Amino acid sequence: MSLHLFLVTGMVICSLAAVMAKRTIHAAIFLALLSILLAGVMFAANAPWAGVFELSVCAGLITVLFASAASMVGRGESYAKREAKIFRWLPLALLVFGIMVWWTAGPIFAPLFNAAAPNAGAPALMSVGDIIWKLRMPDLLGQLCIFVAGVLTVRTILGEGKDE
Amino acid sequence: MLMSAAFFIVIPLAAAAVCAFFNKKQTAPAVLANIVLACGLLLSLTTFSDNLGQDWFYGQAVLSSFMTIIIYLVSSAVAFFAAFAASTKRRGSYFAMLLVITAGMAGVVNAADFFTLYVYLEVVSVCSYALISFYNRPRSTEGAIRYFYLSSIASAILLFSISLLMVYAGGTSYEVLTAKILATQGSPAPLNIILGIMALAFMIKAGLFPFHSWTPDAYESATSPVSALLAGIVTKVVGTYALMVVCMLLSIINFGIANNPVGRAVMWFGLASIIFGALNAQEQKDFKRMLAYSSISQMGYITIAAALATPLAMAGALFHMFNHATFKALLFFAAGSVKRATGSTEIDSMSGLQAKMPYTAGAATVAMLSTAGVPPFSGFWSKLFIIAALWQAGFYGMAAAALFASVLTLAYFLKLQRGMFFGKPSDNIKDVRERGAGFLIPCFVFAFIIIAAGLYFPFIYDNFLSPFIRVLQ
Repeated sequence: MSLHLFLVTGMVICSLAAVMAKRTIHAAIFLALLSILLAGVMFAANAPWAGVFELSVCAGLITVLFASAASMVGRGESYAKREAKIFRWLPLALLVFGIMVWWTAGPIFAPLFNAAAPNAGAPALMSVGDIIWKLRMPDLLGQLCIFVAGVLTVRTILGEGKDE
Repeated sequence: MLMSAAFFIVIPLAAAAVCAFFNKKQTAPAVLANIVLACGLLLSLTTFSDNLGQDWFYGQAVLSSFMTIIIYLVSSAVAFFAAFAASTKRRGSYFAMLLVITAGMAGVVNAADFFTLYVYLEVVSVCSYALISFYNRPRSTEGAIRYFYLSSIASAILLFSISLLMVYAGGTSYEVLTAKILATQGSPAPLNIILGIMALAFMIKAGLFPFHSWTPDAYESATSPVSALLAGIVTKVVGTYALMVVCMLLSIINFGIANNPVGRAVMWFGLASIIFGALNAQEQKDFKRMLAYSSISQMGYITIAAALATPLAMAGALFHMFNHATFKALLFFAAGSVKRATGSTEIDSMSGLQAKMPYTAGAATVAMLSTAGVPPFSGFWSKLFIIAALWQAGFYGMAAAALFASVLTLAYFLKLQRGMFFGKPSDNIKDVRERGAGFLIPCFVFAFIIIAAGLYFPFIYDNFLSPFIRVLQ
């Protein structure tokens, strides 16, 4: 439980730092740290395959893409500095929100967790390949769509930079 | 997910990858996108009857198949219009985005699982941000950023509710959920909480009041084909379609609206959107901004009917989604033509456009009358279904308010007609003329659909709505 708490607290801090970073490259680094901590949560929750994917794709590949995009889109720096000013009250807002959730969410969600499905979260008796290719094929296709959409979006931003 | 549904995703995705390689070409990406989307429309029409028997839960297959037809119909028209109206810069990326967003929307409506639905919602959201801010105008970028913030909050709420669903039901597929619902009819409270949180996420995505702040900016500042796509179909797929699925589940859990607190809350959000949208549209001085507020109001009609969730209301919601897709896309095409011809969409800056652009004005008038629910246009039937369903269920006040808002709709569109299209042509439009067949054909096609769907409503009812009502009953 203390490990989970440490990892989740670290994730919240990293996500705040990513949003509030004054340089886009720093934001990319904090996102990578966030992914590493999330991978830790996955390992701790007995989901090693998901952890490995998170580490290799999100912490590795996506960070390289973000870092290279951030270095190419230099004009994003001033925008990031402006955004950082807007978000200076975010930690306080998040703290207030967290305290409110802590006090109010318990009674609301208690009946839900009491009635939780007995097998929820238990590891399925299937291989990872079977789960990905047989059960989650539409999701995999969706991930491919997100990838194409992401590449096109980055290309659109960089293309506009060239036009200017 | 049905096998045919995979084609609606894979083929546009592959075509998008090809389009992206022709970024500097003017014609090739437009032609490829138009061919792929037209073929998708034909395929969706031919596979509609085949999919009817393959329900995951009550009526969902009919809903998916009908929505696929609407998605491909609007996307095809938008791609055709964009082939003539879009800027000459980076057309490959532009049409590739149109194809990917269409694939994403097809994924949303054909998903049989809430997590799959979430993944495709994100595809649509990413493409929407990029399309709204495609030419990097300050207003459009601001609209895209607002949409990004609200949509991110909605995505976080949705993901949270999906994780709760996983904890409670042990799965996120519609099949697992239906089984869980049937097994726990006695204690619906936990599922009501989860589906209530989910409904909140979809209402934000739909841009309903009070989560509408991004819609006027985004619709006004995006290019007209993108505005037509967003107002015509995107907000419906990511918002009201998903809300319909949730409301159908809520209705099953609670045996209808009487014991359904979440459904009742969603109905009030719908009613507030109807009134807020209609009242704010009266105040607008810009054609596209008025259409944006009109969209908020019309989304309210769909939401209120979806939350009521009786067979008649659901059929009304489904048909109004189709009607809103056609008449709102037509109106944004007309706004695009006016903008291209005059350089402005300010209502008070010109008058007498009907004399200079008679075909555009005629098609826009058909769409406006249909939006207001004037017979015999298609909008009349869907509003009649919705108001009759509200009356039948005992919501007399809401039915009266919906009827009153329809009169308001007619009022603001008459104001627009009088200000922009009727009267003596102003001096600043003396050289204005129609922008050619490329701009007019999509308007004519949609005007024809609106008139035909109104006049031949029994055909629509027998072939598309009746199977849906039968399954729900």
